[in-house]
Amino acid sequence: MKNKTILVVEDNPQDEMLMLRALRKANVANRIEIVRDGQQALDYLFCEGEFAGRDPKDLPAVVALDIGLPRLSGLEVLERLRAEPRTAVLPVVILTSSDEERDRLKSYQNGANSFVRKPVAFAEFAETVVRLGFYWLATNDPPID
Amino acid sequence: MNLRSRTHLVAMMTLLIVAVLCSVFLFVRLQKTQVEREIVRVDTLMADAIQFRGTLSDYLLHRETRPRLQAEAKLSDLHHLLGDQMQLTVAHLLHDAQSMVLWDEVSRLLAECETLFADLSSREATPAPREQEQRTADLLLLSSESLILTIGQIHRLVVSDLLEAHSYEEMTLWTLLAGLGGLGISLFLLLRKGVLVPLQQLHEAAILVAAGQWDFRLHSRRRGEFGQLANAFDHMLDQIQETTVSRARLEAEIREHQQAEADLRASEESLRLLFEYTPVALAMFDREMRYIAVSRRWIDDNRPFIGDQEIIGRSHYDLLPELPDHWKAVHRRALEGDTIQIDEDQLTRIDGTVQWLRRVVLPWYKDNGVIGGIVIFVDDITARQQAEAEVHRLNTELEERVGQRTAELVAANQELDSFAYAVSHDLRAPLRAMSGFSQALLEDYGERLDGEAKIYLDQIIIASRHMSELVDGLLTLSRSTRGELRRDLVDLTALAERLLMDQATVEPERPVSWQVEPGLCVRGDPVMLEVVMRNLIENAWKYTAKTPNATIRVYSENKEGQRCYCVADNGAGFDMNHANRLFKAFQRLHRQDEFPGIGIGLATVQRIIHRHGGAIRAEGAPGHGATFRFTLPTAETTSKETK
Repeated sequence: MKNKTILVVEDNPQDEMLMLRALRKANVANRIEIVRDGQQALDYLFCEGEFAGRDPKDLPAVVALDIGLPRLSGLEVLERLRAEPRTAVLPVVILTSSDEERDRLKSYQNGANSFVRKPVAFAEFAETVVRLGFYWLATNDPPID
Repeated sequence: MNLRSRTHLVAMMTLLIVAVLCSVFLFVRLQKTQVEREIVRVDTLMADAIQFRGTLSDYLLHRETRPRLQAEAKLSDLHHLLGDQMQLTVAHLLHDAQSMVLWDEVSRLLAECETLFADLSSREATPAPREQEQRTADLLLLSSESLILTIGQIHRLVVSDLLEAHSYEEMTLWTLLAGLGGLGISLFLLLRKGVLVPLQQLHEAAILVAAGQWDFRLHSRRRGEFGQLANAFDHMLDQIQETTVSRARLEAEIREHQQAEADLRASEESLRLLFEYTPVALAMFDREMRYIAVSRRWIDDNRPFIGDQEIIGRSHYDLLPELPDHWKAVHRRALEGDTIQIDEDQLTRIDGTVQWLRRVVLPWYKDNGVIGGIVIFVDDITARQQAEAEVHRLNTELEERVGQRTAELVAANQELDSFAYAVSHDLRAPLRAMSGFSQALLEDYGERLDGEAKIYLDQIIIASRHMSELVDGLLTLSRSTRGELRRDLVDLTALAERLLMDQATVEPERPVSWQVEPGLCVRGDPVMLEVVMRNLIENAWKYTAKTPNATIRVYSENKEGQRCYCVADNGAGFDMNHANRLFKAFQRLHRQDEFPGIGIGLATVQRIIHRHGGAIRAEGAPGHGATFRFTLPTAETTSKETK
């Protein structure tokens, strides 16, 4: 569990801070990578652009993906990931403020493994984040070891 | 058997019977005559025998020759008579045994007398003893006596025969008379039944028919000539009647025909008038393009070319020598059977005005199906054309405007959608940050903050939670009527029961009783109607929190001719003066500390009911509960309603 990475795609620094705090408080010691927009997320995962030197085999255990992102939306990122064989089965959790039915439906249609709405109340938000972390890092078996 | 053969038969039988009766009568008469003749003979025989007895006595007394000769002569007469008698009556008396015996006796006695007389005569010459002679004479006398007696017996028999014959004759005569009488009666009856009665019937029938009863029929079931005659009579009546009826029919037909002719003339006149005054240019030509009929309008339209001259019977081509060839071609095609229609023929008049014409050139047919010529029809459709153009222009304009409005509406909807999406997405993150960092501050630096600071931070958290609820409410409201409206059958009763049960499960400590009318079924969008019922029932549940014996009722009623569905409670109620604010978003009639809420539920309910084409109304009084009534028009009446 220790060497597993979580990739968080989040453009809101406040949500990012709150997420990190929640995970820290829950003693999750895993590496947490943060990217700020959709394009950056794709660059990171495909080892392109600013992440060109990255080891392509080094994939995160789970990607926490927001929908409303600059440059490329979360749904577009998801579509591109699923089209690429290397990331086709990568676990992706949509973590968003939206509770729109069409977003939820589109996410699952594009191959999201989970859809979680960010609760507004902080306590619930923190709990959700921690539970997600534990689930995807400890409970869930990844498609590829 | 027909009458003739019957008559023949009867005549034959009559003749036969008469013949038989006559024969019998003649036979009986003959027999009587014979018996009478025999009586005469028997009488002669008797007389002779008596005379013989007399002369014999004389002879025996006197012994003279003359009496002896007389006696001999009488004996000879008797002998001859008897011989004749024997021959004559032998046939008659064959079957009369008694008579035969008597006649034999007579013959024997006569023979005895002759013998004795001869013996006595012979003694006259030779002397003989007196005694012997006396004895012979006595015997002779005795025999002659017996002869007389026997003849007397025969006489009696013959007389009785005569009497018998006489009675036979009488009887036969009566029988003959009776037979003839019977025959007469029989003949009369036969005549009556076979001739007179049918004749009478025919006579009566003839009288009836003569009086006009044509449908009278004898329907005779007789056989023979009269049956045939009756049938022939009936048949004749049939034919007469038929002829009479046909005549009536023929007369009716003639009348109809006359009427039809009159109608035809009237119709021809109407047609002529119609043709003449029809408001289009109309002309009828024969095969040589000579005018047969023409409307005034045609003459008016063509006045610049043909003037006021009479045109019926004249050739169109002679009148208009400059007619373009393509028109002549059109006329030829019509004469071959084509119908040519030129719908929109634009024509610029000499004065420069533009005229739109519709022309139809078509053949007309004679009765035998041969084309008799053509009809040309020219209609000025300028006004219609202008009207159509105007309608077209207006339609286009309207369509443009509708399109513009639709685009605007679509844009507005999209804007609203984007707005709602942005709200849901972007408004929440700062709220989360506000509450999150306040919480973090409390958790991480709580010991360094005094009580007042903690209360402020708590207020930030409460406010952000409230705002989050408001955002959610706003989203619910904007989404409540999004998407296509379905018109499914919704079991309102089951829905209300389920929602009330949900409430009871959430708050089992609340003793709320409820009544839901069974069988409430409406047509509408199931998801939206669930939102409506949930809001109304949650409200009823919420506002009865402080009411003892809280009761919620769901029912339907007819109000002002419309079916209303009602949710009523006996809770806090509201002031009717503020009723207009009830359905407005974020407007509340109760303070948060009384009944918490964000004031979005009833606004959502109203939007959904309006979307269904219905209406909702609230009624209540403070402390006396509230009743919400809504209508849902049926699918038929709102079928034009679109999203």
